[in-house]
This record gives sequence, structure tokens and C-alpha cells, in this order.
Amino acid sequence: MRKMMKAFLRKIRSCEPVKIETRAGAMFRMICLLLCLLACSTKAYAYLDPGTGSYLFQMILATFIAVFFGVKLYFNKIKHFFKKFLSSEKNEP
Amino acid sequence: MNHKKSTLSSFRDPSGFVFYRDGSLYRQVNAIYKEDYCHLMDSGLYQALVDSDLLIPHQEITDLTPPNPEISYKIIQPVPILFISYPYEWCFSQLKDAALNTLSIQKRALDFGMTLKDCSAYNIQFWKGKPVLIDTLSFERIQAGTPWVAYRQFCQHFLAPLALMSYTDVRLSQLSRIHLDGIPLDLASALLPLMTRFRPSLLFHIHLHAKGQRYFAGKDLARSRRTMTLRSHLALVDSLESAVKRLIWQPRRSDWISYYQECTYSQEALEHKAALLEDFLDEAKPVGVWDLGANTGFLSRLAAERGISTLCFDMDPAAVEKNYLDAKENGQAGILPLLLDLVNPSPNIGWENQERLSFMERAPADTVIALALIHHLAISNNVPLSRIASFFSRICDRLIIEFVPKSDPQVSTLLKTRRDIFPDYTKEGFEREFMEFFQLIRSEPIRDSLRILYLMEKREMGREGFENQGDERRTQGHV
Repeated sequence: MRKMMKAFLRKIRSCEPVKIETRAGAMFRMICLLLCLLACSTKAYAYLDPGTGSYLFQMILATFIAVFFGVKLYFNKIKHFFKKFLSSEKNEP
Repeated sequence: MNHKKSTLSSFRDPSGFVFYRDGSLYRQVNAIYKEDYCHLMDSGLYQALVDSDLLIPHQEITDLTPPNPEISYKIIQPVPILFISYPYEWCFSQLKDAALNTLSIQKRALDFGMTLKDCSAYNIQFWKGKPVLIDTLSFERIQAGTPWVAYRQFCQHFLAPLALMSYTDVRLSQLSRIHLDGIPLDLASALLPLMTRFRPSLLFHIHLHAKGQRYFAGKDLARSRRTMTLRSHLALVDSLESAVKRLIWQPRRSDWISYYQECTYSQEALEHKAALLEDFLDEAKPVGVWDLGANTGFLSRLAAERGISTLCFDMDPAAVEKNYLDAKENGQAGILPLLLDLVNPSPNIGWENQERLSFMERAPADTVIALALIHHLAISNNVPLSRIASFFSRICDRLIIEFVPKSDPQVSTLLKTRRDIFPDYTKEGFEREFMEFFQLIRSEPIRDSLRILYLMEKREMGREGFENQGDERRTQGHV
């Protein structure tokens, strides 16, 4: 299972990213990578060098959550608009 | 003055270090940090953070020769912190507030084109009842595309201990005492229950992060084509903020938290004890008080209400939590509750065993209050009265202490399940041992009880000697 996951991971990483590099495609690659981390991890250097791991992991994670953050911002804007709209309606005589 | 000792906690940072001159604390800003320091000051970030009580204020000093003039750019003098406390001495909400403070600072820094280059929990101290960043040199200008260098440190110093305290056991905060650079994420991941893998924030920032550390370790950074946009930075901080905010710890009913409701005190005895304590405080007029075994700080507040800076120590995380939340809710900035087991107090740890100071090294206090404590030390923990008296003489100038005799119902309960091997535990024995180190100022029996309250002053060293000795130690935790 672990071997299969590793092979799958290698395949994902070796994909030509430019051809159909849509946001959804990039997201898919990232989700696959994050899920693969759950299944397989190597012990090499982790003890010596946790910093590099965190550094690279953070870049993937941040891109992933930035999408949700964007949605959250737009949702907040809509919420704010309706709140403002409703409160101005109430204030009208 | 011990310069070597005073700079021991700031030796890691090439940007500058703290030092003492004539009993005052200063920080040298090195030339290597000049650009970042100027950006911090000129961009308005410093003022914005100080105005929001997020960063300790400082003033620039021009008429002082720097300790290392060849590498010095500037000398600054931060407002001193009276008592340096450490994350393993904080309750859950204190650590949570410190984490949220750090994230607010990072968010604000990003607005001004800067970022926190380190996120050590030791950089946060409690000042006026709130957590503030004391390391002014923690900022650097953000480089386009680069990730947050302190992300791992934030997860290890704040998120992992908070998650462990919330989901596993609150006593796991003591892991920070062993792991000085925060709890390793693989350890946190192993200790957290399965359900935390279904919480996206903890799944990402702890479990997958720990796996990611292993997976990417040793990989070539230069080969990575990824970059991080400002939005990604903000998203990361926002995600961490939600993760921290969602973590809660509801203390279960502990023995100590309900002490005053269930103890054998009569209302009259409790009221008289409080009145006597007020009298003694008015007589002693201390500038600072340490209340040992403070419980939820019910009686410590009598000192704080008089404008006396008050530290409340207790070994029960629930009592400290309640004390902190009450003080926060009521705006009692003069109270700082801390977690401490007196029979195993915080030791000297870190590099050369001097990086983080022991409880004893941060003494002495002006006045120590020890109410309903002595029987727990002498009888529950078998500490001889002579050792208890010697201990108090090392940590304070004056002492307000309550003697609880064997005939007291509380002591009788302690002796129920054990042989009475304490023949010297008597009023006379107590006075004999304590008078070796202290001189009696006042003693009063507490009405409707068998207990006695004493006010004592230390024999040998005068107040001036103590104050000079204490000044350096109290603030040397600056990083």
C-alpha cells in the first residue's frame, strides 16, 4: 500500500504542470500531496532538519487554505453588505 | 552586576542582546539589524503595536556606551517587566491569550511589510495583566514569496501545547519545561486523540505538519518553485487564529477550586483572617507580594486592591485558570496568577542551565504570603520546619504566614491515613525554627479557629540589600 502511494505521489509530482494548470488542477495536486503525507512518510533527516520540512509543507498548505480564505473574505463582504443594507433600511423613517 | 548572566537568555539572536547597566535593563540593537529596526520604527508598526498593548514600549538611549560598540547601532531601554514568567508556569487561558497576541502581531506586521522572524512563547510576558511581546528585535522585512519562518515555532510553542492541554490532559503543559523549543510535532501528534484528526485545523497544523516535516526533511529548498503570496500569509495566520480560538479547556471541579466553599473555616474565621491580612499588609506596606498557595486568589486580591503588585502561585491548574479569568474579567491588572509546585519549583534550564531561571533565582519578593500552606509542606510532604523556615528566608524580606496546628480539622484529616512522625510540628516548634531566620513583628490568633497569623521580618539582610539583589534577576528573562 505504502509503495503504491509512493508511486502515485511520484506520478503526481512528475506531471507536466503547465499544460492544464488551472486553479482546480493545482488544488487537486495539493490535496493529493497532503493526503499522501498521511499514508507515507520517511524518517530520513526529520530529526536533524525539521525546519526544511515545515518550510516546504507550509508553502503547500498556505496555497491550499488561501483558497478557503478567499471564499471567507468574499462571504464576509456579502454578509457585511447585507448587514449594512438591512440596518440602513431599518433607519429609514 | 553580572553582565554574563544577564545576557544569557538573549545570546541566540544576532540582531542584538539585553544587558544591565546600573541596575537598569537595556537592549543593544546591532548594526546588522539596522534596516529592519528602522523599518519597524519608521513604518508606524512600532507605534501601532504599542498603542494596542501588543508590544513592550521602549525609548532610545543616546548617552550610554554600548557593551559592544563595534557592532552596535543603537541602545534602547524597554519598560522593565517586574517578574519574568515562563510558558510552563501559565494556565491554559494565559497560553491561549499569548498565542492570540502573537498572531495579532503577525497580522499587523504583515500590513506594514514585516513579519515575525521568531515566535518563541518566551518572548511573551504578562504586563499590566495582558500578554505583550518583549522582544523588539523579533521583526524583519518580509521577502516577496518567502514563507513564514516562524510557522513551525508557533505550532510547537503554542498550538501543540494548547491542543494537548485541551484534548489530552492539561498537565501536559509541563512538556514545555522539557522541550525548550516547543513540543515536537510528532510527539504532539502521537499524544493527541484520534478525534483531533477530524478537526481540519489540527489535522493540518499538527498531524500533517508532523508528517510533512518527515516527508520534506532533507529536500533541496532551492528546487522548490513554490512561492507564498501575501494572501497565503494572511490565510495561514487566519487559519492558526481560528485553530487557537476553537481550543477550549473546561476545568473539572478540582479539590482546590472549591476549597473555600468546602473547607472547615467558619465564616467568622475567614472574615477575621481577611481582616488580619489587611492589617498586616497596611503595616508592612509592601511594593510587591507573592502569595504562595494562593488558590483562586481570593485573599491575594486584598493585596492587589491596595495597588500592590501581586503574584499568585498555586499548583492546581484549575485554580490558576479561574484566578486568571477572574482577574481578566474584572480588569485586575495587578494580579498575575502562575502555576507552581512548591515542592518541585521551576528549575534552571536551557543553555548552561541559565537560559530560563529557576523560581529561586527569580526571588526575592518583598513580602511573601503563605496562608494555610505550612501543613501541606510539613505534613503532606515531610519537609521539616527548619527547612521550610530556611526556604522562606531565601525568597522574601517579610513573611505573612499562617500556622495551622495539629488539632485543626484540616491537619487531622491529613494525619488520618498516616503515622504522626511530626513531634516538632507545634506552635512552639514553629516559632523556634522561624525565629532563627526571622524576627516577629506581630502574631494574632484567628477567631473561631485554632490557627495563628504571623507577620515576620527577615533578620540578616536589610531591605536595600534585597532590592539591589533582586533588580537584576527579576528582569533578566528578557530575550
